[in-house]
Amino acid sequence: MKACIVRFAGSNCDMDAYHVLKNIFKFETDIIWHKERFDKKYDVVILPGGFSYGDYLRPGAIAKFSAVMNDVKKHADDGGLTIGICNGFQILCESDLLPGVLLRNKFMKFICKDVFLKVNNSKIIEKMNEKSVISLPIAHADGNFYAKEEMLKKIIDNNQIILKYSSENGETDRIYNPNGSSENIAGICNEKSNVFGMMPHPERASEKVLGRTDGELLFNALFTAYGRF
Amino acid sequence: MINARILITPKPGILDPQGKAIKLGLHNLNHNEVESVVTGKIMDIKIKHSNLKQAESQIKDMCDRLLANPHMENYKILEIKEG
Repeated sequence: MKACIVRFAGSNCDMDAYHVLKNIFKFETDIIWHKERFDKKYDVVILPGGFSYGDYLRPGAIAKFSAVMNDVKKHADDGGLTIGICNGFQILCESDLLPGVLLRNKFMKFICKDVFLKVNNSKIIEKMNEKSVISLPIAHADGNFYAKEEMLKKIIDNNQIILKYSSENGETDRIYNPNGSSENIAGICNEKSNVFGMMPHPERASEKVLGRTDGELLFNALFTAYGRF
Repeated sequence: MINARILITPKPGILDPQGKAIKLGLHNLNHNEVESVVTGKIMDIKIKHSNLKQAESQIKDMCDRLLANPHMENYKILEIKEG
């Protein structure tokens, strides 16, 4: 399997994602600098977390015009599995590869903590051996997912919500929502279910030595349910 | 040279936590009559151009494609003049 991690100026989770794909999943993994182009066929392209272009203007806004994004768009348009984590999610929204936007957190705070997430997608749950609540870390200032009413309705109706902030038991009341996001959304996909964006960091929770492996479970479920794996 | 000043503000209904925090600060200064505060961005852009109309349409293109996100922000060209 071939994986590509895109490194923007200001990415800081690129090496974590690289380590997980290369050493845990044993994928042939390349890191591509954002000013470069790629024409290789990848099984998955990952836009990692960080602060591309210093988060100036709006998170992800300037990164969408990086040269490599032409190839990321082509990969996604061809149905290739594409995953944006945190800043990668913001870049995918700014690039219109995913609907909506990520606003500043409701309480103006950078949030760095572990959260519980209700998996809202039966194919992913099936691939996680029926586990439907996972725990992953979040670390962001702009994770408040927002979409206009009609867009949000479409996202819900098309089953595009994949992760919701929840309690340990999977209750999705507002009190479990750390950043004010609509519908407790922590992760979504596009209509074709090949482009995924999420605020939580599965790459930081993919090894027993780091305390948990729910990230590996989620990655594996995405790869097997929606990728060419 | 043409100088333009652009104002970018959150669309009505979009959460503006910064504005909310500033409002609380003003209330702490006993300006309790302050109903709301909206924060935005001002950008001053210089363009090498001699045609005002063309420069304006260029500025609009910049706003539509990069400077403002149509999902959450409005923009307004406050001023555009030769100088």
